[in-house]
Amino acid sequence: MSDDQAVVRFNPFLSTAVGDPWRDVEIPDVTSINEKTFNGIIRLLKQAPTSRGMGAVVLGEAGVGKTHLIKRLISARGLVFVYVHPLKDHHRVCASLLETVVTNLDGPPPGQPGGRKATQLDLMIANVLKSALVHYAQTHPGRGQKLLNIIKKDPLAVLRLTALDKWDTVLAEAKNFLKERGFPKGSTSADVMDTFFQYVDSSKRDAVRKFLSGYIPEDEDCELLGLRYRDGDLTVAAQEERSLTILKSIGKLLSYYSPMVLCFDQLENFITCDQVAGFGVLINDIVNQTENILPVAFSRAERWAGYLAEHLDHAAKSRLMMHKFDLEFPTLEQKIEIVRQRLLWAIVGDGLGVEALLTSCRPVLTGLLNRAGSPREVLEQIGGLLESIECPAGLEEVEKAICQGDIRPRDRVVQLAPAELMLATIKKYFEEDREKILSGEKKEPAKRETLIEALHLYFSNRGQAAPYRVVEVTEDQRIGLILRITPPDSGSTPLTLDFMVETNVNGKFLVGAFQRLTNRISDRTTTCSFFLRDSRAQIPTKPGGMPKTVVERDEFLKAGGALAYMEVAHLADLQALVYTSNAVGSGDISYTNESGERQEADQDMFNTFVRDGFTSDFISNLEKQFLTCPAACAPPPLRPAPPADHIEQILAILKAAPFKYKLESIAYALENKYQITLSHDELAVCIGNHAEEISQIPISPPIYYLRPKR
Amino acid sequence: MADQTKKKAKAAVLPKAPARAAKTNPAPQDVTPVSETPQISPPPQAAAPAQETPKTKLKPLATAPIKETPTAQPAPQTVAPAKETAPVSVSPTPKPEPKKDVPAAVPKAPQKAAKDSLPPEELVSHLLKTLKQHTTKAGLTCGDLGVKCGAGLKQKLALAKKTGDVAEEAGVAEAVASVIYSLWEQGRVFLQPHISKIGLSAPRIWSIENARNAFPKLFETSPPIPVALKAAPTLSELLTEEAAIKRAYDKYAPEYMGYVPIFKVRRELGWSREKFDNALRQLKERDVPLVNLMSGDPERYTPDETADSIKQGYTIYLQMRWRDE
Repeated sequence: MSDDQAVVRFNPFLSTAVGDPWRDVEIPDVTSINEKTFNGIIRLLKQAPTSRGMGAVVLGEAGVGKTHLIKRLISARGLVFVYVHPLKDHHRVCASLLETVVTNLDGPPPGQPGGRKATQLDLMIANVLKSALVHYAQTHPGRGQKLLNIIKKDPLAVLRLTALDKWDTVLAEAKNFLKERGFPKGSTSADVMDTFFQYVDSSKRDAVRKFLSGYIPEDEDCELLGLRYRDGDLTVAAQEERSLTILKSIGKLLSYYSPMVLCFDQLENFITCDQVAGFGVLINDIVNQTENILPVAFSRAERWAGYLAEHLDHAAKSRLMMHKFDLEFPTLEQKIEIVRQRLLWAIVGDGLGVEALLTSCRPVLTGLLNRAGSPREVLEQIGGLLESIECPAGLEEVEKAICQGDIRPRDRVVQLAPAELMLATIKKYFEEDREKILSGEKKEPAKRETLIEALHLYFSNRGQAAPYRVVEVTEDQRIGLILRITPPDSGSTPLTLDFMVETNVNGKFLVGAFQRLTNRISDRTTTCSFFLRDSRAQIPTKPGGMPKTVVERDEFLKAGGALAYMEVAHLADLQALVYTSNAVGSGDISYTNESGERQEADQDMFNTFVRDGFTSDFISNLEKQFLTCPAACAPPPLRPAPPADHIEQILAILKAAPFKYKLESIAYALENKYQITLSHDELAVCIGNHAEEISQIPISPPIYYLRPKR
Repeated sequence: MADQTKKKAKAAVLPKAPARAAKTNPAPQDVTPVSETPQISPPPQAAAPAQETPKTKLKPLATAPIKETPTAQPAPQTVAPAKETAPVSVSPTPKPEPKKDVPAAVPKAPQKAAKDSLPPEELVSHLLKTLKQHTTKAGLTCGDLGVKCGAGLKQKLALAKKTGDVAEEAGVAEAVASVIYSLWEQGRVFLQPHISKIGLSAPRIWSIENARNAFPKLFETSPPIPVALKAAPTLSELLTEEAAIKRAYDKYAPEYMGYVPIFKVRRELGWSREKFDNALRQLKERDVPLVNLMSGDPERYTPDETADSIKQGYTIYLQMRWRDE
């Protein structure tokens, strides 16, 4: 392999499924595949401001490119993008959705490369202000023209006015402008308008995010945001109502910017009638009560045509079916284009070599690709051929591997039996997803429904090897998860354990939650209670704060409850577990069996993985606690020290050849060159915290490199 | 579907290039209409009669007529469908029964005449070599080919003009077109007719080898036919099967929102297992597949229904969907 030859740096066919489209933006795209559907959605989005009540559904077989299509929407400009994992807590669909919406709005806008600071919310604010200023200039001739000329070119320029005295005047004009144009009335909507513009102040961002996510603000946040403290109704129904009101206000604000596409992915993971019914209610609410928001459902066709269509509310189904898109398998030329784009993605050097390779391999590729149906099958077929070569490799090696055309990965199959292979595939998917969560630019917040589902998956799949026997696992609307187990030394008396995941910041809400758990311990309804919380939302948030909540917390601990804070690595364990479960349900995890055929991982094998292959330090600690000291004194919070940041050394490593590193290679270099020992988790978190400097190629496993400077 | 195929067949007629010959060789009375029996290049030895074949200077292909709609333009080789000709459309088209006496009827005179008019071999090999390199994905227009040939072409063309093999007044594109037409008559290049529906505004030139890969269906019946392939179902048989499967599919499509269980179609047709499996696979494994086969949700099917679906290795396809396009 001479220096001037093109080199394939990695096997670009290994990444066969787009996990979270926000994280896997860099995967190459063949735009002609599913182009009709993409254009259809864009057309609907353009109509959204004038045609209310629209929805759409995209149907397709596993691997045909549903999530890839969603990823393409992220690359499009002129829309607000929100990606929604299946909302399985049917009691709180609207609250869960709003939280997801705000998390997405707090991220980079579609079509904008990563590493830039402006978020979708920034752009929304800038465009609302721009519209208000245009109106001001029209009604006050000769005034504000200079500013207007600047912000017409770049709406974000208006945000630079925050430091000026004029800012308050600009905001007052904008609020009047919105009121005159029918911004929703009511106290919540008024608070949304007041809070929305404060997002540009970085010191208030966190409070604004919480407020827009539907949480009732605590005294401190009210003071910070200039809101009047209100004793909100904390019932689930009231929270749902409140979330919908905020969503409606956000929709109204979008009319000055761009419509929002809500991509509800992996709907085939709804497994109960309640979940489908909850989704139906949500769709009806969105299409009937909000503006500028287009819900698009993505599902496997047979699941939609069967279970979902049978159980979905008729009105919601009609709305979504108004625009039904069926994804097609690609043609031969499109399949070859997939191969071309993937190779070009992976090579360093002259791209002409790829053309020559495709020419010489054309006869083999034609036969091979015509047998493959979906894009995923194409990737798996070609990826299987390249398994025999070691990357980095020259194109001639790749050509040889393809031209041999032996799609059976014999070596691998010989080593592993089918069941082991499937387990290994699931485990690999889980570990890679976990690494991507940790190294992501924005760490996902703890979501109640995700964590409860993860705990449910874990405890319902405990096998004989566990030091206790699980009798029953129940999800409870007010508690979270109730677990009944029989420890080995307790005879036949089962223990009852409560797990509450609470992300709320409202003191009244937290007080109620602590009291509920304390009462259950006191009246012996439960043996022990665990209050689980994101470590980024400590109680109290600052020394001396949240006095009432602290009193109740101490009462809870005194009664024998445990308060456990979850670090990002702990959260990543549980989040990745749920996302892997969704991927199995969607047919996204597959492997090539001994006959060279693609086989999807099934739920049984996933359960086996949870039982035998999944480990979580956090849950292990919980297990130790409820097995060793049930109902005993309060255990200390689970809080390891935060990892030290060694970004300077990491950047120095990435600056050196070969410039692209896997996580383990960076860890190895850190240890050898700088005598710094970091766990892979700590390293991934550190990389994610510096995403403006470090980018990643989302293959398996991810490869990290220095983000080119603009 | 059959209508669509017919439409494609009608649109897919000979490239404009042969129209030049048509001017000197009006369509004889017994010519089969082009629109009914779409023909493609290579139109080798069964082309125009010897006395009508240009003998000396090859005139350049006019660019303007190339853009005209080619319907009903009699072509020089449309005297009778030659055995080597194949339908233009990539999707299966009704194919005329090959006349067994055609090879014998191929006149030798045109071959000689065409050979007489061949441009210098150096120029030809240069063009063919370039064509082979650059037509792997899509064909080239005459203009494109001229550009791809690079600077060396001009020198060779100048020589050809001097020797009188190419008209002196011809530009590069016209001169290339002239040579290509000559090669096309010899069956040494493949001309893909212009079809505005798929965005081809001018005929595309392919090397024969690359055209075989790009349009395998067109060359299926071209000699020499491998012995193994002779046993495969003929195109007309496939068409009948395709139509039958489509009819059975259409019957259930509304009920299943287009995602029809394969066992329904199989049972509707009542064919032998092998015939149905082969026919359905043929529809799937095309350059532009006609059906998508999907694995579906096995839990929704009884063992009998699963058995009446299609199995490929360990993958069981339970549903099918006819593509929209």
